[in-house]
Amino acid sequence: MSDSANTIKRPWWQPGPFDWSALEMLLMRAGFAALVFYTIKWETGAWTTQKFPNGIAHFLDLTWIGKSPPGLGLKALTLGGLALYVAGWLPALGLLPALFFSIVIGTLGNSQGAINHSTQMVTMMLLAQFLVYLIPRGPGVEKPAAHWTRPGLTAQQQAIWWSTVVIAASYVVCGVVKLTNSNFMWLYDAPYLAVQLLKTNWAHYHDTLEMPPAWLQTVTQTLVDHPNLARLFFGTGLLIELLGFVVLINRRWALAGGLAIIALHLSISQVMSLNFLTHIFAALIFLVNVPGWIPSLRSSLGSHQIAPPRIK
Amino acid sequence: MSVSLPPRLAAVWQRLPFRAMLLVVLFLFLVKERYPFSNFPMYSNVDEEADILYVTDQADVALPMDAVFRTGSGTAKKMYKKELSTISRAAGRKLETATPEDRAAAGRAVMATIVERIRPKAMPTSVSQLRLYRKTFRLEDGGLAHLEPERLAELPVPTP
Repeated sequence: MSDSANTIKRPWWQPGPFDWSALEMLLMRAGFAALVFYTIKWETGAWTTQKFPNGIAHFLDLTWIGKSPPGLGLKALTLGGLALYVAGWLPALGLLPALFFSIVIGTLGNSQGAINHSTQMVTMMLLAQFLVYLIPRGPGVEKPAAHWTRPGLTAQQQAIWWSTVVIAASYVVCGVVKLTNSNFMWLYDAPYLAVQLLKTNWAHYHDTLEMPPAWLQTVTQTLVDHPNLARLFFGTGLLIELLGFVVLINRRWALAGGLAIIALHLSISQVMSLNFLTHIFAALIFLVNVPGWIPSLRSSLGSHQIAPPRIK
Repeated sequence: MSVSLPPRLAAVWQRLPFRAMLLVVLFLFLVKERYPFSNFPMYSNVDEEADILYVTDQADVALPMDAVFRTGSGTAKKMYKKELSTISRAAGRKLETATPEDRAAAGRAVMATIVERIRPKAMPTSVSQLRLYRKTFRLEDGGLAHLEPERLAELPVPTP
């Protein structure tokens, strides 16, 4: 697939344009809306306290949503808002209920003493898109009234762009923290992760009472017996995280980076029983972007080029 | 973003690739865990030891934690660490030097939380007592050792 001719001056590090078409972005928004609704942990009944407050729970009591979980009406309101967002009408207003419940429920869930990392990235993407639709900014973006009611192609592309920025940043910071928290010894110490493999598989057993497959014990023991193999295996994962920024170069790099991220999560899911479905779907929607590789979909409703946001 | 930089620094900044992403990375790195923001520190500290928490009945038969307590083993372990950290800090000790009494107190706190979440229909009728155990795995002498589980707490099944 060839990138279309470039009319916008791009920086040296971005040789190919992200010329997302209106139809591509409509499909991305539809996929993201479904992902957001799925990501919100609507079953809040177990969370009636916030003993270890996190984020806004330090100064707001959020337990009300644990005591009276959102019912059909509030879920319908959220779905209605997401439908507006998908259609490209009043997107900031449309995203507001989903953003509200994502943050309130996610914060309360993480204020129980156990931080879970499955929803933060999608919620940050949601926040980024909400801010793009709320604050008109940059060349080619409509005046506020038009921007808020029916943002144009440029604003829609900005929203998608910032989503990919959040994805890239989430992986890069995850890799950086591995290095800094281990005094840059993470790769050297990687063979110790075999113990974590054993731990997560036993934890999975106690969650479900299903025994892990026998091959997994062989894999774990192999990693113990061959430390350099363990370094190669886990080091590949670290490299994928640290190189997460490549998804911002162009479509081809986004595809390659997206597939690498998905492969990383699928392998973690297999060997550690840790499932990050939300991350997999986010990468599938915004990075792999299957519809974007179908030429007729890219050209059917016109493609337009976007320059990365200028940060002075 | 309009931040005034010295001209030379501004020129370097303008040529820097992935500026937006770098700013987000820096932000997440500094903010750490404040939902929805996170620096995603999972498995950043690797150690030769790892432990899990699990619940059994009075005969030490394991119970499926997801189904019965709506709380997985991993979540229970994180809650335990948080409780233990609070308890041992209050007693002027570090997490690593927590006493068996500290661990038992943390175990009781976790148990008190998760029994609140019991799904009565998922609890086998034969269960009268609940026991919370901590099991440690250690990499030693080229092998993976399973240490003897430590019982942290025990209490009767609450009546619905």
